[in-house]
Amino acid sequence: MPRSAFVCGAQMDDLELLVFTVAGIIIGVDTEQVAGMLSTERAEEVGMEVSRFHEKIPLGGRSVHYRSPKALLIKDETPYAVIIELPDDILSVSLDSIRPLPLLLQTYTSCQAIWGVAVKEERIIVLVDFLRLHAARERGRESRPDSQ
Amino acid sequence: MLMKTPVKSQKNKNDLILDELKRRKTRKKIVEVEEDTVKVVIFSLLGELYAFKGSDVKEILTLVPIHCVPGSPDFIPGVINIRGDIESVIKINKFLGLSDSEPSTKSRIAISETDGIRSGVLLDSIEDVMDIPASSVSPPLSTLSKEAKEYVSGQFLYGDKSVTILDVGKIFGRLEL
Repeated sequence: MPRSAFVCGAQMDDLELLVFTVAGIIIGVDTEQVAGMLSTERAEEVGMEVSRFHEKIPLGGRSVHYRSPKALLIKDETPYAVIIELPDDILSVSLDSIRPLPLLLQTYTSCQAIWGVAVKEERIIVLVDFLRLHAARERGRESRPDSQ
Repeated sequence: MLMKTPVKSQKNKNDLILDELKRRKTRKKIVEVEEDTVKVVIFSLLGELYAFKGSDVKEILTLVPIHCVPGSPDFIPGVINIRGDIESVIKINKFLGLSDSEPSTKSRIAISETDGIRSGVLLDSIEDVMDIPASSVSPPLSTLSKEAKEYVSGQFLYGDKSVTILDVGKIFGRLEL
């Protein structure tokens, strides 16, 4: 029986992740952050802010090719879409299997959107928080002199 | 007629030899106990020998899959899974003014920890783990590169080769900036 945790006043045993792979890296995002999924063309048609995953989070020079791209709609004050590879799975991971980023990695602000790692059946799933990423970028825009 | 050497005097000579050997061994032991030693882990990077203090190295692993973490700098290739725990892995070549190494079957990851910071360090090979007399450690060579000097605490001879001792704390401290 996994250990429970109280998060925002609610008991939570597991985290449900939408899992996809970009440039060989397995990424997981909390399904609670996901409003839905569209084709990339449809997302652009409806006038959503659309960007590719690797444009939001640098992948260290890895070459990226989306074979079956999908637009992941992120729940936010102003919803926006991130183009990802067609998701592999929706997985439930226990809190016991989640690890924070090692200290040296936490130091680097470009990792802000990465909040931890889940270990599931020998796989390492990098956990992304799109809301945190978007908030950081908005703060960056507000603090730039030319935005005033 | 040849006289056989009396057995008693032969025994005495042998006893004397054994006594002398015992004395030499005892003298050596006293010297070893009294002298401070430092445990070092000697490794190579692009053919050059370096060492960490043994007290800073917790574990040495063969090369296991390193999982990239998006957004991390190029000297942190990623994280590894060690028995369910996640550790970062760093490449220190750049800090020593060296180009990147190619991974090989001899590559190792040294899990190092100091001042509350813990990380794997990617090495080309482990050459030796040994105790050296503290007196054999001398100041760093003046010919070291400017980049490397910042992280060097001393050097010693390993056979006829010079080994540069690196300060893990200074390396991790630099990464924290």
